[in-house]
Parts: sequence; structure tokens; C-alpha cells
Amino acid sequence: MILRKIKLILFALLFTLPGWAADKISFTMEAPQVVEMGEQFRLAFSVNAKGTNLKLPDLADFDVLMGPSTSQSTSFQIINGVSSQSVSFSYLYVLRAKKEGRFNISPGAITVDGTEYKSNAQSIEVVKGSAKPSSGGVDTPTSTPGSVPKSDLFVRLNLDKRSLYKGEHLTATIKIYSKVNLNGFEDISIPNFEGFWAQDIQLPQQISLQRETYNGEIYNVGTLKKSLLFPQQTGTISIGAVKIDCIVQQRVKKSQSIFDDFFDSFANVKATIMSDPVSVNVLPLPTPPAGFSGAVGKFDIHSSITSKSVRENDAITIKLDVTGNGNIKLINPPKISFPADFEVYDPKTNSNFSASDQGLNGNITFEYLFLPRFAGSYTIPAVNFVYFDTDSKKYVSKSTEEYQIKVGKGDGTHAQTVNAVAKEDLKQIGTDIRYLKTTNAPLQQKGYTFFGSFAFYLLYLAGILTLLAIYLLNQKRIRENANVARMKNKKASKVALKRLKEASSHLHAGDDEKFYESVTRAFWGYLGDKLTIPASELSREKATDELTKHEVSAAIIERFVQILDTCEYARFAPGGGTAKMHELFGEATDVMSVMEKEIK
Amino acid sequence: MVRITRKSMIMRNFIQKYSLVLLFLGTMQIAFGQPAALQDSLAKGNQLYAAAKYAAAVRTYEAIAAKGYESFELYYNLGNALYKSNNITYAILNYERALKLSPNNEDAHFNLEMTKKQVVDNIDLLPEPGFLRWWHELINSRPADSWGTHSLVSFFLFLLLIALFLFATTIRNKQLTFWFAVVTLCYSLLTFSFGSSQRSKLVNHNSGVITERSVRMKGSPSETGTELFILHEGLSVQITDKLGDWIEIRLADGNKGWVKEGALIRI
Repeated sequence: MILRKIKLILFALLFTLPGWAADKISFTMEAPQVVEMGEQFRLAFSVNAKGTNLKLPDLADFDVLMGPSTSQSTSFQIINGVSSQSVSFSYLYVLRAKKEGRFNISPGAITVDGTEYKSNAQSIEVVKGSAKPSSGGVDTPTSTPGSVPKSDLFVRLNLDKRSLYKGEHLTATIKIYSKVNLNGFEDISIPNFEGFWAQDIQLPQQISLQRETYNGEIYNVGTLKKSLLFPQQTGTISIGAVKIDCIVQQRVKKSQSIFDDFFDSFANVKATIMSDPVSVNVLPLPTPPAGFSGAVGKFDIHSSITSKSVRENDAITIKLDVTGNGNIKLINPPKISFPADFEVYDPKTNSNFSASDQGLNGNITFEYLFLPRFAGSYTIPAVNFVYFDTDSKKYVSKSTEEYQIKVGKGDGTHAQTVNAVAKEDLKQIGTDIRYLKTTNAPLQQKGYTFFGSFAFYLLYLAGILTLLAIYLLNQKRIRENANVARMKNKKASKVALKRLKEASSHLHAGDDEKFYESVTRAFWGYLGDKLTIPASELSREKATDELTKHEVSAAIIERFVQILDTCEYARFAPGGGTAKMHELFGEATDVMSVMEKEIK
Repeated sequence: MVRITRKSMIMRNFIQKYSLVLLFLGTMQIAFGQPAALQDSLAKGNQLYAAAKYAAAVRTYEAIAAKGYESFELYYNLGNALYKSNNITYAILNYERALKLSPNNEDAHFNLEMTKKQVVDNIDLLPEPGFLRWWHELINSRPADSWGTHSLVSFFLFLLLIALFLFATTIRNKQLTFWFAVVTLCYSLLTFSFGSSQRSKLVNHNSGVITERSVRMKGSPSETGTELFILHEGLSVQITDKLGDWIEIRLADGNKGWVKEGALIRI
């Protein structure tokens, strides 16, 4: 009665409190995750308001041993003058599993102020009961006091992956499994994860034990540590054992008195447990493409720039922001190819991330500060950020945008101190091989050289043959010319005789002028043909020379010259008489016949 | 009977001569007719190189070389493409080949030096007497064909002078043409010997580039031979002898030793 009144008063109070009405109704169902066959366990519903019409979920797989037993609690507190109140109703059932397996308990429902609220669902795993009979939560004394069997208390170092790429993460969990009454830990030694970069995942300060099955048995399990490990080297990396000194409370049986059964005495026993050492196989990354920054995971990149239009020597900052999941802390700053005469400072790195079961999430920013030193238009090329995607097991490349920067002339504050342009040595900013030959020179057969080829030698031969041909042709011509001379030589006396005959006819006709002319012509013609002297070159001196060369005796030459002289004299002074003409004719025929014999 | 055989000999000689002419015409056709398509693919390789697709450019150039054709430009461009795709050893091999076809090309020398900076082995050149070095530089200053042309042209000049000598009428002219003819004949013979020396380098393939990552140079042509040096890929060596599948090589510093034939590729 009194309770009810208080409740009513409290209710009245509650409605006056502004914060109360806004509070959400929460209706939850609670049950252990793992139970043994035949074990009794509690299924509890709790609601933070008075509800009616509790609808139970289907519990056909379980025996309902007891319930519902309802209970309620109210709390009221004033903190710094602000009072708050909470109320909690709970409905308790005691169940027992009928068969093994995993069962889902669908949500229960309750009606509060006319609205129906649903609880959460819950799954319960029913395992085979252990060999030793469960006796209402009271431990049976161990057979050997002072020691804890290995199957009752052990520690495991769990890795979610045993084989991974360098830079990929794995989650290492250290869990303690216990069936005994754990009283606390004295010393926990955790291996230093050598060869890894480790990042701890935040866990609640208090280690809470939860029921879990392991190898078909139920243990109280506590998570001691959870770390993300990023391998830094390839190959097999072994992780040492976890060593824990536990304090276990054991009931000590003293069989002296029958009261001992009622008043158990407990003793704290120290038990040292160690996990099995584990090893991880770390695979090397495939050959990275150019621009690989060491990032492994899944990332996105975007860039920003403080200004695109500045004056000389004004600072600009480009900020690259890499967001994603992976080994964020280990990403190297991507290289930006700034124009060569920019003054560029080392990038400033800022990272911000949180570790969770999913890995390291967060972002890392790189700030590149630079100063364009000379006016002009510049292009800062896009940054190519390459990372290794652990899902597709491939390198993925992401690019930022390209920036066009306009640098205007400075206000002169930097340049005024010097009047002349500061001379700089020609700065070599890179080396490269010389460019291609793009002339379309003809291809040749391998090993073919004109030198030594058939055509090559043929040309020599052709040259020699041409010379030979020219020489032979010339020789032939000379020979033919010689023949002409011989013919003329042969004809010479005939022609001379014919002319002399002509002269004799002139002699008989008494035509002295024609007579002398014929004699002269007969002699000159004879000598020209005989000695192959062209008519133009004929002279008295030439004729005597040639005759001497041809071994004609001096007396005959004398007589020949005498005849020529007589003829010429007679031509210019005619009237010498017929007898003289007859005498000359005889002399001419005589000289000519001797000459004919003597000329060789 | 004797007369018939003589006749058939003459016939055979005639056919031989004729076939040589045919062969000559044939080679001319191969040398200038077929490679039009290859010439196009050379241009295609250059385009790929310009587009920074170096691996594809390498494949294109190598396809031309595989068909049995070559030119200075082909080897030089192939060397460039290999250098860009980080294949230093083969880049050296191709620059050396390019320099064999055009021994005094400055760009090829420059690129070869650039590439050789990335070779592990550093070998000091054996000092050569000044005159000999000058002599070798002189021979190396032109390829075989260029010396061949020199020799041919001076030989024709010699023949011309001989002709003038024969037709000269005065003693003075005869003397003059005779001495000039002697000089041109000497020049022709000298350049011919230069040309044949250059050609023998081209044809005999008596130099090579080490292509294995590291090779042990032995003192004798057997596996049990004393190990003298460890050579690394990219090193250019002279080949001086061959015994079975062992090759005697001579390093630039004068050291000699034996390596397996597979350890190097002839330039």
C-alpha cells in the first residue's frame, strides 16, 4: 500500500519533470548466448516504463520452468540540483533447453501507454552438457588442490588471418578462457609484436567475462587485448607466447569435520598459463608501379590549393588528403613534380585515425608549401596516388586534379636590393638520353655492306676495263693512222710520176710557168705523202730535216734543194729556154727515183 | 672431246657470271624493295616511343630486326626504347650495334655513356699509345661503306690519271700524272684496308655484351677452372677465341678469361 502511494507520488512528480517525458521507452530481452543441454537459465525482459500485455516470443524449443516473476526498481537522483528518475520493470523466466543447436528467439512485445514496443531478438546456442554434472553454480573441489587443469583455464592468441600481404592488417586478439573462479591477474606479459607495426584497439577498461563455446564447451571468456598488426617485413614472422599469472579461487575440502561441507574454505591459487606461439606468413607485394606510396588498403585522395594566382615569392600550399582504410600511418608523401625553379619545402604530414576491428580508419594530410620565384604561367601536374587494394589484390591509381598557376610580377621588394640581374649558373635539372633518330633511313639486310659486295668489286673491275678499253681503242686508232700513212707512202711515187708526166706535157707544150709549178707540186706532194707531213707544215727546212731523219744522203738533199731553187727562180724569172727545162726534168726524175730508194 | 668439255666449261663460266649478276640484282631488290612495310613499322615504333609506350616500341623495333634487317636508326631507337623501359643491358647491346654501323655518331656515344653509368662493373681502359689510339680513331671515324666509297673514288681518280699519263705528250705532264696516280693508288689501298677492317668488325661479331646477372670468368675453358673475376651484366667485352661452348674474352683493361657462350650476346 505504502509502496503504491509512493509510486503515485513519484508518478505525479515525474510528470512535472520536463526531461522525463522525452525519455525513450526501451524494452530489452536478455539471455545468455551459450547454454548447456539441461542447464537452467534466465530469460529476462526489462522495460523502463510500466507496460502491460507482455507478449512472449515463441519458446517452443525450451521448457519454461518458472515465470514470469516480475520485479521493479526505481531510482531517483539529484545531481547539482537537477533531479532525475528512472524506473525499471523486469519480467523473469527460467528456461531449460530441450535439444542442442542454435535457436533464435524472436522479439517479445509489450504495450506502454497504448503503443506496442518490441524488444531485441536474441540467439541462444545450446551445446552438449559437459561430462561433470553441473551443480547449481557451485564448484566441485578439484582433484588436486593448488593446481588448475589446462582444460579449465587457458589463454589463446587469435589471429584473423594467417597469410597476408605486407602492409595489410590482421587483428590479433588475446582471450582468456576459464571454467574456474578467476580472482584476478597478477602479471600479463604480451609478446612485443616484432616485425609488425601494432595499433591497439580500444577495449573497455574493465575486463568482463562472457560465456562462449570453445571446442563444444562453455567457458567464461575475457578479451584482454585486441591489436591491429601491420607486417613490416615479408616471410614467416612468429609471434611469441602470451604469459599470464592468474589468481584462481579454489575451494579447499577439509574432511575433518562434517561442518566443512557447509562452510567451505577457499584458497587463492596462482596459475601460470601460456598461449601457443603462432606464426604469420607475409607475402611480398607484387612489383609496384611508379609512384607507389606504400599505401595498402582502400583509399581516396583529393587535393586543394590555397591560391592559383599569386605574385612572385608568395607562398602557396597544396594539401593532399588521403582518406580510407589501411596502413594510413605508413603512407609516404606522394611526390609532386613542381616546376624546377620553385622553392619547395618538405611536406608536412598530419594523420588522424582510429583503430577498430575493421582496421585503421581515418585520413592523412600532406601539406606542400612552395614559393614560385619567377613570374609566369606554371602547371603543377596531377598527383598520381598508387595504393595496393587488398580486396582486388591489385594496384589502384587515383589522380588529383592538375593546377594552373599564374604568377604575377612581384612588387619588387625582393628584387630592389640588386640592380643587376643575379647571374645563375645553368642548372642541370635532369639527365636523359638523346632523342630518337626519326630520319627515315633505308633498312638494310643484316650484315650487308656495300663494301666487299659483288657490286663493289665489279666497280673496280669496270674501272680497270674502261681504262683498258680506252687504251686499246687508242692503240687501234694509232695503228689505223699508221696504215693511212703507209698507203700514202705507197701512192706517193705514183702521184709524183703522174705530176711529172703532167710537167712533161707542159714541157712539150712550151708552157714553162705551168711546167715549173708541176715539178714543184710533184716534189712537195711526194714528200708530204712519203714523210706524212701535212701540207700546211711543209717548208724547205722541215723537208730537209725530215729527209735527214729518213737517212737520205746529203748529196741527194743538196740536189733536191737545187731543183726547188731552180723551179722557184724560173717561176719568177721565166725564159730559161727549153734545154734548161729538159735538163731540170731529167734531174727531177733522177732525184725522185733515188729518193724513192733511199727513204726508209 | 676435249673441245666439248672446254666449250661446256665456258658455258658454265658464263652461267656462273650470269647468276652472280642475277644474285646481285636480287640482293639489290631485297635491300631496297621489300622493307617498305618495315620502314612503316619503324615509323610506327617511333610514334609509340613518342607516346611513351616504350614496351610496345621495343616490340615493334625488335620485330623489324627479327626479319633480318638493320640500320643505325633502328638500333639506336631500339636502344633508346630499351633504356626507357629499364632494360639497361640490351640497351647497351643495341647502342653498340648502332655504333658498329655508324662509328662516329655523337648521340649514340652519348647515350651509350649514359647507359653505361648504370652498369655495375667499372673497368679502367687499358692505356693505348697515342699513335695507335689516333690510328684506331681514324679507322673508326667512318663505317665500312664510307671507306669503300673513298677507296673506289680514289681508284677511279687513279685510273683517270693513268689514262692522262698514257696520253700525255710532254715529259713534264707524264711525270706529274704518274706521281699523282701513285698517291691516289696509295690512298685507295689504304682506305680499302680501313674499310675491310671495319667490315670484318661488322661481319665477325668479335665483341659482345654480358647478359647474365653475374658471370664468373674462368682461367680455363672448363667448370673447374680457376675463377678470375666476377663480371656483371651490361659489360662490353672483346671475343678473342672459342673452344666448344666456351668463349675467351678480353676485358677493356686487358684481362683475359673464359666464360660460357650463353653468358653474352655478340654485338
